[in-house]
Order: sequence, then structure tokens, then C-alpha cells
Amino acid sequence: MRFKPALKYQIYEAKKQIIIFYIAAILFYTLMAISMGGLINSGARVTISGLEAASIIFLFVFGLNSHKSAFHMMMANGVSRKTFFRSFLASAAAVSIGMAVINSLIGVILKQFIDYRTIFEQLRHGYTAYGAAFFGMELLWQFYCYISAVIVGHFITTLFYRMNKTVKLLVSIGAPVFFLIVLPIIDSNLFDGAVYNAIGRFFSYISGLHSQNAPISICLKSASLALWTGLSYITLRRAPVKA
Amino acid sequence: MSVIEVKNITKNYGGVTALNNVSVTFEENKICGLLGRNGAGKTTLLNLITGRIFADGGEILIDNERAAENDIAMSKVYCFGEQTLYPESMSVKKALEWTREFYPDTDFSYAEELADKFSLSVKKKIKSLSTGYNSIFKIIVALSCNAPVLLLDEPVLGLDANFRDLFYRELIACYSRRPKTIVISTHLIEEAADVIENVVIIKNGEIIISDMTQNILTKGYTVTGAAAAVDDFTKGQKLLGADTLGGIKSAYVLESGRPADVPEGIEVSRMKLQSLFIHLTNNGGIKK
Amino acid sequence: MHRELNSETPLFVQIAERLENAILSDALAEERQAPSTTEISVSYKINPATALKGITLLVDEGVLYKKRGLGMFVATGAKQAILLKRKNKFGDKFVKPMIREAEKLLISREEIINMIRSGFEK
Repeated sequence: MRFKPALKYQIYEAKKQIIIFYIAAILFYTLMAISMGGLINSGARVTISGLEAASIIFLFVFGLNSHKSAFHMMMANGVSRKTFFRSFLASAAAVSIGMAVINSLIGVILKQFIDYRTIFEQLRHGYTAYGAAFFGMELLWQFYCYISAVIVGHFITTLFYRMNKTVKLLVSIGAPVFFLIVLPIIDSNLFDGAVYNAIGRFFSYISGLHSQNAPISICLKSASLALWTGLSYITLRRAPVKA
Repeated sequence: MSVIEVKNITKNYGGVTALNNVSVTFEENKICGLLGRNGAGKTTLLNLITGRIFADGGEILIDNERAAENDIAMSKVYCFGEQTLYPESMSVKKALEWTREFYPDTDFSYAEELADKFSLSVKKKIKSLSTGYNSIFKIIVALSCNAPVLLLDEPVLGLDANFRDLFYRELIACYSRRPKTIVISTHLIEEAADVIENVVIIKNGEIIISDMTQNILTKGYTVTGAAAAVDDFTKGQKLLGADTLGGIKSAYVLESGRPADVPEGIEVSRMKLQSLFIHLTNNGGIKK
Repeated sequence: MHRELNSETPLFVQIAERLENAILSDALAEERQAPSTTEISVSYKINPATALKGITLLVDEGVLYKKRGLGMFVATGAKQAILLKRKNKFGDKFVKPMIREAEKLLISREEIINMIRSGFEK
């Protein structure tokens, strides 16, 4: 019963960020269009893409911001962590679907003027026709990417919230150092790059990128989404309110 | 209904036991003072009731239902503590609107009336409020939300004498109009003494007093007179402490009834709540 | 409200006494409405339950009575009743302590009586 006001609040916090994102995106594209105008008119082939990538990054950051402020507000108003999490998921889903639809629409509009390609198109060589099925899959694919980004971001920020100062410091320095410096060195010297290869294949498996087979891809994506959601909830469950 | 039952609650922080097997009931629709020295465990107890932190043992019931992670139970309680849990960039007005979302019984016009009385502009952003005005903001939310249970952790922090006076009057008026269960944790004991009907005193994570204010004030009294006479008179009674000046001794007693026959030269007088509190919670406590 | 309620007598008794004083001085006339519990508690900054206890004390003594739906009113004859009650208590409250204090100061009975006489001459 506290769910509705909780969800309302989540959307309230999300609104501002999303509006800013789209204004920035539109400005960027307009700028690009203007500066490319000359090129296009002279007949050169220009391909633009990247709205999805930008959206994924934005939503990841959105996820990173989605914990502390909203969590504190919920705690101040007597909302349980369970309801907070449910309202977070609902808002993440709403935002993801919304942005998927908006981005597709933008894509359709832009296609009229320039050669605009979405990531989905670039990956899916299996589809040749631009029918309803194609757009359906594209929306679904975008939705998965977006909501995953939000949830992973949320998980990371909740995890950080739970950590005490020393652990936070260790992780913020240690993780990048390990992944960007230590691991590559070990990898190339001892394993001939096999570790990175394995990690890459692991990611493509769980995000369904590797498979041209749509249903399998969706299953894998759903499983991975469930995993991140579960981890997020476990981290939140016993989170005490901190300063 | 709005009874809070704390049952055998234990809370540890690292190696320190903040609350040790604490049990207490906050009676429905009464104003209760939660008193204790700095670090005694008052804020911990309030945070546990509202589910902001988790206990290591025991349980808390609100109207016979477990309070932990229970939306229905938690929706009956509004608590404000030192920590501002509202987004700093939010305006007071927005915060009140959101309070109304979460607590549908909120009386918005009463909130505006209070803001006026306290000279708080509702357009101000929370981050721009001083300590005193932060307290005022929280007081306004607490009094206007009409939750059946109000937990106020140091409500008058930073308030000048005039606003403190206004706060007590508004609290009493609000409570009189619409009875609710109120728990006030405060260091300003004498100011609150006449307002609180029940009093709970926490010392070092344990409850040492849980009684009606009236009862406690009857049990505590001061015996003044010549030192020898006082010692004679108070033999065998629970002494909380004593002061001597120039041959005259004042002994502080906590006993179940005031003595009826007071010999000549001995004066028996009531002890104020603050004095009682100080003697009870000094490190020394009850002496024989 | 100028309160400074002292800490010797129970609060609710003091509240009752104050109301009685108001009735005695005609500030609060008979058959007029007495202040409500809310008004009293806000005025003195005390718990409404205490104010209620004070009022109940006066109701029990017949000084106040309740008009349903309207509140507490001063009973007819309240002033007389209070005067009588206080007269009866005068000896214990004022005379005995005065004598005790006088004995402490070694003032004789004659001296006390003379003091009282000259007190009336003012």
C-alpha cells in the first residue's frame, strides 16, 4: 500500500535526469546534423549511431544514483526496504521501456534524413526485413540492455553503501588496478590472453550477444537480469541507514 | 491503536553493547519522555523501532504486529532524528507534499500555519536551513502528518527559548486535539517534565526507570538538615547521593513513599525530575 | 499565563487551586464556562491529562460540572463552597506553621497575639 507513493517518488527523481539526457542528446544530434550538413549534401555516406550506447551509459549512471537519496527518503517516511526495491524495479522497467520506445521513434525519424543505424541492426544480420517482428525484437533488446544497466548500477551503489570506509577505499582503488593493470599483465604473460578471451565470451553469452538465435538470447538475458536483481535485493535487505 | 512493545532488544556495535536485553512498552496515546545521557542508547532504540537499523536479538511490535519491514506497521509511525533523510535540494513545501503522499492524513493547512508561527518560509531548501530551522522543519512535518505514533529524537535541538516555548504549546495542543502516542527523547528534562506523562530512563543500554512521571516524582525526595540527623533519618533507605555544605546535609532518596513523620530539624522536599535523573544516571547510581 | 508552578504540591492540585482562585476573585463567575483542558494545558505547558485531573478534582468537589457537548461550567454556589473549604483548611495551612516557626524563633504566645492584633490595625 505504500507502493504507489514510493513508485511516484522514484519517477519524480528520475524525471529530471531523463529530461536532461534527452535535451543533451537532441542538442548533440542537432549539432552533428548541422556540422555534417555540408558532408551529406556533397553525397558522402554518413552513418550515425550511438543513441543506444549513450542511453546505456546514462542508465548505468542513473542506477548508480538510484540508491542513497531515494533510500533515505523511503526510510524517513516509513517505507519498507521490500517496497522500496519493488518501486525501484517498477520505475526501472518504466524508464527502460519508455526510453526504448523513444529511442526507436527517434531512430525512425532520423532514418528519413540520414543513414541511422541502431546497434541492434548492426548486430543482427539475421534479420533482413524491417517488419513489425524486427521492431518488436529491437524494443525488447533495448529494454533488456537498459534495465540491466540500471540494475547493475543500482547493485554497485547499494554494495558501496553497505561497505565501510576501508573496504570502499580498497575496492575503489583495488578493482580498477586489478582489472586494468594486474590481470592483463598476468593474462598476456601466463595465459596468452586466454583469461580475457574467456571473460569476453562469458559476457557475450550472458547478454545473449553471441547468439543469433533470439529466443535463447532472451532466456540468457532474463537469467542474467534475474541474477543482478537478486544480488541487488540481497544487498539491500539488511542495509542499515547510515549517515 | 498505537502501542509500541519493545521485547528483549539487544543491539551491538562492533564490540560495544548499545542496548542490552531491553524491554519496554510505550503506552497508547500517552506522551512519554525517553531520557538518558549522551550515548546511553536512546537514538539506537528509536532507530530500531523505525526499522532504520536491525536488532541483534529480540523483536519490536506495533499493535501486536512485528514492526520490522512491515509497511502497515511502519505507516503508523513518523520519526525524526538528528539525521536529515530528506534530499537536501528539496524545498520545505515539496517535503510536506511528499509527506502527504506517504501519510495521507497530513493536515497541510496546519503545516502552513505552523510554518508561519515559526517564521519558516516553505520555499526554502532543506540544505539552507540552520540547525534550529532544521528542527523546526522536522517538528512541522511531525505534528502535521497525523501519524498515530510520533517519535521525536531531540526535537528542540538548536531552538531558542521562544521557539522551544512555542513547540511545547503546539505539541500539547496537537496532542489534545488528536491524541497520539508520542515519545520524546530530550536532554532538556525540566522543560519537558510537565509535558511527559510517562518517563523511561536509559542508562548504559539498560532501562532503569519506566514509570509514570507522577509516581517517580513521589518516590524521589530530598532530606535536608544537620548531617547526623539526616543520616539517622535515612538509614536503610535507597540513597542516590548526598551533598554537604557547612554541616547541613542534603540526601537524595528514592523510596516508595514519602515519610509521614518528619522529626524537627529535618526538611523533606520534592526532587525535580532533572535532579532525580542526574543522581540516577551519575556513575555511582544507587548507594546504600 | 504566569505560571511558575512550584514543585512541592502536585501539579493537578495547583491547577485546581488556580481555578478556585479565579472563582473566588470573581474573575470566573458562576454558571460561566471554565477553561477547557486544552486551554489549560497549553497555557501552563503541561500534559492534558494533568489538566484533566485538576478539573476532575473540582468536579468531585462540586465546584465544576459538565454540560454535555459544551464543556465544564462553574457550579452555582461554587464560590461559597470554596470559601468554606479554605476556611476549614486555614488553621492547618497557615496558623499551625506560623506557630511552629514562632516557637523556633522563641516568640511567646503573647507576642504572637499582639502581632496579629496590630496586623489588623493596618
